[in-house]
Amino acid sequence: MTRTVPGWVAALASVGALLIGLPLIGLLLRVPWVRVPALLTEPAARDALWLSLRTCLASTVLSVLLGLPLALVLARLRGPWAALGRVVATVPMVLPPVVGGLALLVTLGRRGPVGRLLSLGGVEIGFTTAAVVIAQAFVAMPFLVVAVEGALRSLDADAELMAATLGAGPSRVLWRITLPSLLPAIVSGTSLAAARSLGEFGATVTFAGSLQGVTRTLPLEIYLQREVDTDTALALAAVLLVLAALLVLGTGLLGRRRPARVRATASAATTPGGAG
Amino acid sequence: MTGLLIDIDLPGRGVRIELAVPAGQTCALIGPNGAGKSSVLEAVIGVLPPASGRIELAGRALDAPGVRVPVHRRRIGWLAQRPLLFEHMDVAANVAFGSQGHGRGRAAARRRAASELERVGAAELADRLPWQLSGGQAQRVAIARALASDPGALLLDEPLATIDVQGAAEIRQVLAERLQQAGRPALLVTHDLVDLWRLADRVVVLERGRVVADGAVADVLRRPRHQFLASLGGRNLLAGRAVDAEALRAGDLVVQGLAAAPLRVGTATLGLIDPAAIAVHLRHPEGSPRNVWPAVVRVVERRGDGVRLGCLAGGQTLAVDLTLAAVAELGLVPGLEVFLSVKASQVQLYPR
Repeated sequence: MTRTVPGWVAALASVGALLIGLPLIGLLLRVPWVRVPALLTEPAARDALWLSLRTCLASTVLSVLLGLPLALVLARLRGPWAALGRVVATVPMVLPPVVGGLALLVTLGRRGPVGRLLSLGGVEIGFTTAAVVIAQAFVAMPFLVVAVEGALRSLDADAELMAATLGAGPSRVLWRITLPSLLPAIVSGTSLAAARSLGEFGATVTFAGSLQGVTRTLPLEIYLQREVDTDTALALAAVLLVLAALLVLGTGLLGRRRPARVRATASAATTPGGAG
Repeated sequence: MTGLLIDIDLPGRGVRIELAVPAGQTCALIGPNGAGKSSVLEAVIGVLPPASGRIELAGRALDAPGVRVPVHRRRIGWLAQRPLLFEHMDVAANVAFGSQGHGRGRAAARRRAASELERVGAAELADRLPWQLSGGQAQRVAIARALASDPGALLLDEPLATIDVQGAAEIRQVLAERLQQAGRPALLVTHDLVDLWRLADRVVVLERGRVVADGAVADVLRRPRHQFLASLGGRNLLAGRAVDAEALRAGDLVVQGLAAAPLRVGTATLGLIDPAAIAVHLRHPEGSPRNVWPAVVRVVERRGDGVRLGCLAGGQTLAVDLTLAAVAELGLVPGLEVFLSVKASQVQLYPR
């Protein structure tokens, strides 16, 4: 099906594309490609890259491990608690990350109510790598929750009931029926969460600080180096850009392999995440 | 008892019913929309807990004071309007899912699935994915899957309602055979007279949550009482026996019609006639109609834009729909002697 759009819509669309595309092209043009391998092996850059990959992986796993059950419960809740739960679960998506970081700091930090209890037990979270993972999961998990919960609500509850009448208990229904049907939404939600984790800056710097090798992730390193050593900052930026592009591309390819009906559910599910 | 016992109160749905379906019997539940048929099925499946009373299957309480067996342990098989196949599994895996649910090993479940698919004539579909099936094929697979789980009782919720006429006839045949072999109690909700005739032994009419009539299908269709007729969509039913390949005798009436396959003489047979397909004449008509019967007009009543006559012919009551103009022109009043005619092509014949 081909659809034509009015000329002025096309003109505005071009401006929009330029607004997004031009800075990306500008960045790619300025990256000192020849020196990138050398720049990335410098200790500070290497530490930041390694830390980012580790924390991003950890926070993504955490997001899936906790976000999936949260989405499953939210989708089945009814009434005012469901509405409240949904708001709480999605607020970090629209909250300025620095505010999120502040909230984490005053709660889990050494002088916060939870942090004080933890430090009595000898556990310190503030300004550790664990704090980075928590900050990333705080901002990233809602993307997964929203994607999966949307897909869950458009899922056919009768199919699950049918599975139960065939003798499948609640866990078997979850593993064999519900989760496989949600796979496209889980994949897209996970990649959104991973991308968000990778780019996390505000909450991390507020809650975890900026210690090389401990809490200084790629975005923090880029911010620090942008005045001092622009070339290193650009090289690291290029790495982030490539990783983000790979995540988006990978998700797209996975989505395309599914049959039409399943894909329809998946795209319906990603819409709320995309809008947020 | 060995069958399915339902004796429940569902005050939220205004349903209170007591019904015992012995093993091997298929009991049809009919009645207007909102009569409570679906509520009864939901209660038996286990998603609608009765406020009081009990549901028992083969002497085991599924719902009783202090007892509430969860859906997956009730062994109640369910066949819905939609096939509800699991979209991410192929057909063989769908059917094996039902079989595996009860502790069978994977290989045994696969073998059972293959044999169930064979029995519903869907063996060649085993490797397909659900979205590659037609509605009728999908429903065959759903039948195989429901039976592969060895349910203690089967609930059939208008299983043929969304399938085209030709497909429905074939699947009805499959279902009739499998129900007979299974020897389980079965509850069938339907609005279709042909389902009733082909699949059910007994029919129970629900109205406003109560059983208002209960009888053997053959008796009910031979002498339909008002409650049954009201529930079955206004077609004339003539139940009798085949007298040749394309005719049945009901009472003193011989009815020529069309059958999907030639009838065997003596077979119990049902004829269906749309009230609008019957013409009324004051004198014996000339021409082609194969069925012409002398009759007496018993009732004349307004119905929407037209008139419905109740006529008595050969001991059978027949409803006839006419326009107001036709009624006026013929001067039809109760007690008048007339002739009814209907073309054989307007009469469907179903052997049982």
